Amino acid sequence: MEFGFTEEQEQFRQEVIDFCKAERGDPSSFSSKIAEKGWTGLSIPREYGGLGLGAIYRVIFMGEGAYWRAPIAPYDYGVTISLLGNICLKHGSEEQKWEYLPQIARGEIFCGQGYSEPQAGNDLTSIETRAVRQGDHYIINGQKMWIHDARTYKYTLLMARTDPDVPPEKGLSLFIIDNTSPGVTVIPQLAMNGQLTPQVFLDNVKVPGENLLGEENRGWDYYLENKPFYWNKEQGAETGTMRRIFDDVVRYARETKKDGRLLSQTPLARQKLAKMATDIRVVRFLMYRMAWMETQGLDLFNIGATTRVFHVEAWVRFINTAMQLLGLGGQLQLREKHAPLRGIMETLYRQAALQLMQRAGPSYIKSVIATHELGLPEAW
Amino acid sequence: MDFSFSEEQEMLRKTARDFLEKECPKTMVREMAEDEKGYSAELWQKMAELGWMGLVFPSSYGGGGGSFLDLAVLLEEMGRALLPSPFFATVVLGGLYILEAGSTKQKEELLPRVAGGDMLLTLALSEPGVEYDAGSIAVKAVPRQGGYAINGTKLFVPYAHVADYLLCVARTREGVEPDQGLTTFIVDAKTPGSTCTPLKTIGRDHQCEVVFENVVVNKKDLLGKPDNGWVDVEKALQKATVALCIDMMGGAQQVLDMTVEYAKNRVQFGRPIGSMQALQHHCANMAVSIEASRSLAYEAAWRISEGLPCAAEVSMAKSFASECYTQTTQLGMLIQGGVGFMEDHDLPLYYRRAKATEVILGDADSHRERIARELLD
Repeated sequence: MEFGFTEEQEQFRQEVIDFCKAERGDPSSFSSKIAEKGWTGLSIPREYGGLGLGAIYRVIFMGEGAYWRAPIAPYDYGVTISLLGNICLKHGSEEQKWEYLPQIARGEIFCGQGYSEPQAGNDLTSIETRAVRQGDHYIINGQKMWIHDARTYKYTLLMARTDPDVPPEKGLSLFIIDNTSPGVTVIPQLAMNGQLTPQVFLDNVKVPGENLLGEENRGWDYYLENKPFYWNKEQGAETGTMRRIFDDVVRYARETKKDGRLLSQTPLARQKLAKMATDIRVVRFLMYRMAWMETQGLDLFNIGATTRVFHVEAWVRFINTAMQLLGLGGQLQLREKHAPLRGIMETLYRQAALQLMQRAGPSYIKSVIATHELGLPEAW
Repeated sequence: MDFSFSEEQEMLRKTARDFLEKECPKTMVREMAEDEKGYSAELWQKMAELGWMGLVFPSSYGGGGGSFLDLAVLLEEMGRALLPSPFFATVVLGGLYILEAGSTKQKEELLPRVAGGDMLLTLALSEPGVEYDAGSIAVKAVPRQGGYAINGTKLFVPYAHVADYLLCVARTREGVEPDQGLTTFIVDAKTPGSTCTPLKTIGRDHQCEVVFENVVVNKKDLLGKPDNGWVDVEKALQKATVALCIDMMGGAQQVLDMTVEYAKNRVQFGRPIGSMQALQHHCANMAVSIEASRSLAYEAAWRISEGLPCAAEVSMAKSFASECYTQTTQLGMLIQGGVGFMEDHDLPLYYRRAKATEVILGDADSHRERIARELLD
């Protein structure tokens, strides 16, 4: 056992911190600068344009980037690498690998996830969107929900039914869809966190045959195999975000008096802060353990599920506790005059609810742990 | 980074599990709960032959030269089996403290006997109304006849009734900072003036009250620095706390395994109760919590092994483990129902043990306060 970083990893971490501190003020050039350094392709193999340094480096980068609030778009980047990046590397054709992986490594493209439909949430076997082969291309018709920023992402990784005559999970395939293709209509819906979450309608969208990812009708297998990444998309940014907010709240507790007494000296607040610190420690440990297991080529299913469940519950608990510590001031929105921590908690509290349902909520994953890891019988 | 156990550690785990399954069945655990001595001398001898008592001590003191992490692996299996023995008191509370703070002479004299299984030790720290707070320690040691005379009452001293030596933390100076003025003495249990009374506890784990009445100890039996013993006590407590967390996780895992096995086989309403989502989620919650708790415990153990600062990490591990183990046994009860409540079932043994270990070496709230001290003050 060795839970510490190697000297190289520690050096890298310091380099990321220094870079983020120096450059985060200029979001317009930040992305191109990290792309130049190759940090968008840390875990992509060298032959496909990445640095080939593996998952631990990726988690260090994402974690520190998030801590320093650098404009690295952990979500956009995370979803791209954990979906298109991973599945393409494992199951893509050589041409697809050459086409997409270097672009991801250079940070040039984002690819969202096009799985859910109005009638297919956690139950993706109910997908109705159809892809019909016609010569050298497919014609796709259907409707998708909760697509990651389909207005600004170049691609969507779309799951569609290619064979309706086999058991539901045997007839699904994955396609790389260019979001600007004719027939793609994007209708944004406003979510509670202020983000626009598009619904996407596909009306006779013509997709070249070479955009089928992997084999036809194997989409479900790829999805299952990729679940640990699908569940833990931010790739370690979570730990940085938590650490950062924690440090902010600690600073606040040290500086702020409530009813005449410093918050940091109030027994109940101290208990709460200690619990937050402990949760962060666990999340960090699980994230790095999962990354280490990825570098060892080990099965990530159980650790992925555990990490996700712990993180979601810890995160919601964490944000809720932080809000409680801010008291009345916690209600104030971003940049309000009297807002503690510039009002960031109010936004985060609204965002936190998303974790309870997005990419399979904790209830669903607990059922997976019960049946897959513990071997309990399937529920009916 | 490397999150795996070494081959030797995996082997140690397997040996320990096989050995304890055979040598420490639950019938024995129950028998020892009622036994006056509280452990089997025969089993103790076999453990010594396997090198367990010496595992963590350097070979120069007759030990196996293992690391704290190696010891952790062994403790996890002991916790799983609920091994009733003075191992924790002797090796962890006593032996490691002497290894850290003792003089070369003391180490040479005592550790080889501990390693050989020929000597039992324990730590006498808590008192009536005093848990783990230096400032409140009231047992006094005053200079007498070229040595010291100890007076006062120690409580919750594990296996004191069979220990050969007690490491007794006593106040030797008044009117100084709370964590100053304390000295630890290596007290021969046979010294006239000490009375040991076993306590009846929920865990039936042989903790004792020890009353010192003019117990005279020699100056050479000071452990560490006079008047400044608390620094070493803290270090000893850190190791002991992590060791206990690991032991607790072994127990919690066993409860989860038993519970899952039961849920798979128990049929109600025409189906295994493990197919009911409400119970599945309880099981999943137990599994996630144990994984988290074990992560914290092993990270703290690793830090100790590496000699890194670990005050916050130790308290994180204990605050989490204290709640995790108790909740696990409660959920185990909930799922296994009436049958799990019967004394001839294994679950009550874990249920008792969990509640005892929740408070031993500090409960969740007190450790969260320690974390807060590290982070805020």
